[in-house]
Amino acid sequence: MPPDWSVWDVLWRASLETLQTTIAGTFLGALFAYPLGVMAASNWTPPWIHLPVKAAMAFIRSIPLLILALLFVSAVGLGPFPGVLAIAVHSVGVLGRFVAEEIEATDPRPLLALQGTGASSIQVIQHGLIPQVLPQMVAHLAIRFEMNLRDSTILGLVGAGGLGFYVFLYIKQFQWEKTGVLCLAIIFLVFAGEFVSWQIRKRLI
Amino acid sequence: MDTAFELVDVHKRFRLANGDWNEAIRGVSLTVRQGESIAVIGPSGAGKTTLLRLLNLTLRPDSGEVRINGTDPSRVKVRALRRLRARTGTVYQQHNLIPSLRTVHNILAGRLSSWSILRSLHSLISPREIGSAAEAARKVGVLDKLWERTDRLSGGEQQRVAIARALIQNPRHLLADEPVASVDPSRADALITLLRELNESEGKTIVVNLHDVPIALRHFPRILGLHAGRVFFDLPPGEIKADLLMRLYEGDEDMTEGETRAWIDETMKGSLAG
Repeated sequence: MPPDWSVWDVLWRASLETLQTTIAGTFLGALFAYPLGVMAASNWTPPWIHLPVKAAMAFIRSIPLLILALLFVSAVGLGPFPGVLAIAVHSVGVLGRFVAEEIEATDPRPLLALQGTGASSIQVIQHGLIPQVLPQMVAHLAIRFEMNLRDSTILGLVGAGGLGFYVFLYIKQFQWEKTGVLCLAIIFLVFAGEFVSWQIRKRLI
Repeated sequence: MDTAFELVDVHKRFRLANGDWNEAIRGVSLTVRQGESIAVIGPSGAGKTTLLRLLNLTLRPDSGEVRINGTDPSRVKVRALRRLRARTGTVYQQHNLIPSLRTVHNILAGRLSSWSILRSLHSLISPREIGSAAEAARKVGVLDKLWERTDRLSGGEQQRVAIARALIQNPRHLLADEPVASVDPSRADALITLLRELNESEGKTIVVNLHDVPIALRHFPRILGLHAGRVFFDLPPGEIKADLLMRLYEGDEDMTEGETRAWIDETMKGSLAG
């Protein structure tokens, strides 16, 4: 059964949609994950802040991505937008936890040394905290992007757009030749995502 | 003569992980004149590091007063407190540099107190005042490492970067916590000599915590013996005898009494020979 390349047009559009969904979702998630991660770091905030934030992020992580997508599809309708929201929310739970753990693992002594030179609190964060955690943060973001890309290829199953939607459509119509082409595209996309993420991390560590 | 540091009946305690309190400093009164140079000796756990952090204003005393050049830091606003902190440069035992930054940034960190947030952010991307950073690096002998990542430097080089960071602050007072603990003996003397030169040529007040008693006795005109958070003696090196040291180091967890005795005998011989 040879692959049917007449779906090229659909493939191109759907792949782009999946990629856009991933990028938008990951960065929207990161936007919230960083400040929330700082709030969840037990060495920077009092227990009445970091405990509830940590718990909320654990709760988010416990919901499978597909269920999140299903919830958002019923809330905002079909299409890539609920996919973006699902990925963003999921990323907040996962990335926020990494951010908190990285901050908790930082060495406080260089920060005290900077404070001792007369640096302000913002300068201590700028010069002491961020350089200590930045390489790991970028590495986590790259891994998150890679995993979100893989996850978002199947979001279409619940109507949240992208490649998965067409895969599901063609399976239902028994058009295996077209399904095969889209599966190849998914494999290629996931590999490409892993390659980019690996390149970024290789340069950092 | 001006007073650099003045401590009046200072107490400082810390809560331990098991909930108990550790009384690190128990009623220390001390006057250090501007331009003086002092070595602080004593067993581990005597409170030497705590004393240093009280002097560089990164710790507040629980009770008592700490004054810098006559100013009480607990009575000034945040900005003025930062200016007071900038007067004192500190070199830490673990260097306390940012490992992932280049040497030049770690040295320039000493300038942060006189920079705005925007300027210090700009400097992280393209370093400002490279000339003065290079000058400080040259003084301590790490000029060729200026553009390397700090974690690629050896322990001794990192220590000199830490000293350069303190120097670029152009501080009136220089504090050092066990600066020779991680340096080989030949370099230890050179390092202390460098600190003493800064003291003599530029009139900087120097307070150095030392584990190495022979070096302390050889280089410093005033020796402060700290024991269990109290000043045990405050004497010129000539008046410090073996039995006084024996009592100072009594009960040091790291050594048995016999070891302490043998070590002090060796120390006294060493300091006479040096």
